[in-house]
Amino acid sequence: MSNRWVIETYDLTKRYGKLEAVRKLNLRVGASRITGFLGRNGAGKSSTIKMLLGISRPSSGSGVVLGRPMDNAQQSRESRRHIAYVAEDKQTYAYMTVGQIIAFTRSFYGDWDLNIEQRLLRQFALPFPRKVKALSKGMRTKLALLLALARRPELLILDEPSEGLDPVSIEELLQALITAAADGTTVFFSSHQIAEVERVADHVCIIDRGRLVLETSLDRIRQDYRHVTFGFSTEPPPVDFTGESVASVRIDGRQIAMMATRNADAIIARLQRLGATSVEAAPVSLREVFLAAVKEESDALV
Amino acid sequence: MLWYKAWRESRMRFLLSAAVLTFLCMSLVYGARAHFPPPERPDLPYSAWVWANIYGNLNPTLFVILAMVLGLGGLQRERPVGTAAFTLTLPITRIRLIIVRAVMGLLQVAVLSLVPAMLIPTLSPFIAGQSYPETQSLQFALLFMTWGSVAFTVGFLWSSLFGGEFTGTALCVITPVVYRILVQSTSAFQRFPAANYANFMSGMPYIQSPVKVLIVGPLPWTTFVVLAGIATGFIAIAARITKYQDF
Repeated sequence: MSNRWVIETYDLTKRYGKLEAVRKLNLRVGASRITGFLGRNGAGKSSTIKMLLGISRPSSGSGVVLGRPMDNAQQSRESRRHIAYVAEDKQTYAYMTVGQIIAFTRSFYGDWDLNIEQRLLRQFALPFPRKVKALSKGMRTKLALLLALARRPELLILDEPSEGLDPVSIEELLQALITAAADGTTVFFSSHQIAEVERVADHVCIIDRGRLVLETSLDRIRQDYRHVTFGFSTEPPPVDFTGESVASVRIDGRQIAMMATRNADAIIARLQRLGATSVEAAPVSLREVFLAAVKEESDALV
Repeated sequence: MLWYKAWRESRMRFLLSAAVLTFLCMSLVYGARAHFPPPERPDLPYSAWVWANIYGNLNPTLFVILAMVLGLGGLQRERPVGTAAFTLTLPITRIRLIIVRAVMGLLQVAVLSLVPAMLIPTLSPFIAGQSYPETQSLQFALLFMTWGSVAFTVGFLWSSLFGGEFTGTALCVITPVVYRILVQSTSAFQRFPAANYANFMSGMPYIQSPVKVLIVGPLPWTTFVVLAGIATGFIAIAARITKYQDF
């Protein structure tokens, strides 16, 4: 896995009137990985993606995509030669047939791979002569994926790719992402479907209210994050977790429940010294990490 | 392939406009077979009949509206349809998108202005038993093409600001009517006859015989250049607006 960054943003901000959709976002996405971009509805995911692709302009801040500044029109056009984008609604020109939209898109990319095109046409069973407007959402997603993958992009960006799809289509989509990443494409996709992200992603970036609240690898979550519950025979002593790698703490009667993000063993040892009579440590799911991250952000704003 | 896209997106409006103009020309020549010359004006020249039915009266306004409607579409229209993101992530600049669509539209305006020039001189002898000079048709076509191009670019400019399906169409109907009233009621415009598109397109400043209603004398080439400059200016404004727009 490479440490090269394909996406870097510096204090990226997008305002719509008084609403700050993206706030001083400092995002880094590594090459040859699948990175999930998680956030609630309206967290700023789509606004960020649109700025990365030059569809909208940042209010302030800047960014670099595939080594080129995203706010320079010529440079952005050059990087778009190597980027494929699948939008949330997967709309292409409704008046064209599947064959026409493929030929249209192919004409812009010199390194279009006809073998990939033919393979995906067969795999997705796309009806060549059918008009795009007559395709189901699942078929439109497959067509969008074909258009994205046949150009052999360095970076594939998808905005809520599984939105509105049935389970079979979601499965095919996720498989396509895994295959693309295995072929060397960096995949960056936004979602609020945590289970999907957990299944395919190597890394996650969690955004809430326009701010990046967590950026980590799934491996680190599996290895280091622990949900730990301490039981005490009496009222628990006051414990200062300042400086500890603790994402959340809840005291409930004689119990302290916490999410440790690192060094769970050291924290367990410390609380045992303080009189904890029972300890239960369990792995943490991405869902719990996500909820803790966005709750922390919400609490900070209260 | 951008040309193909521009053609497909404007094709229906272009073909409908061509059908409207063809219908007008066919009505004229078939009407001439039955009703020309009118009993009350047995000495009326056929050229005056053609002018009254095609190049004069309200037809310049109709042509201006058709040209403006051709200017609609583009990225603002793609936004509610959901294809703007697909278009904007292609490896092309917004300026190139604008130029291709503008050139396609201007070519369509040129073709539309040639519809009467092709049909009337060709069909009149066969259907109405009358003749109409081709040179006259081509001169009127040039007048229609020039102001039609300006009208197209105004529609083009509106389309860079408004994406709604009905907003753009409504503006294309309202703008020529309001503009015509403004020009006719403002004394400052009287010094520039070409500012009045209806006068200009119907050839009024260049017609010397009110009976034959034929264009005499040199065409207003300087005015053509000025109007072409205005049309280019509108496209440049639309391009600048589009360049900095968020989608």
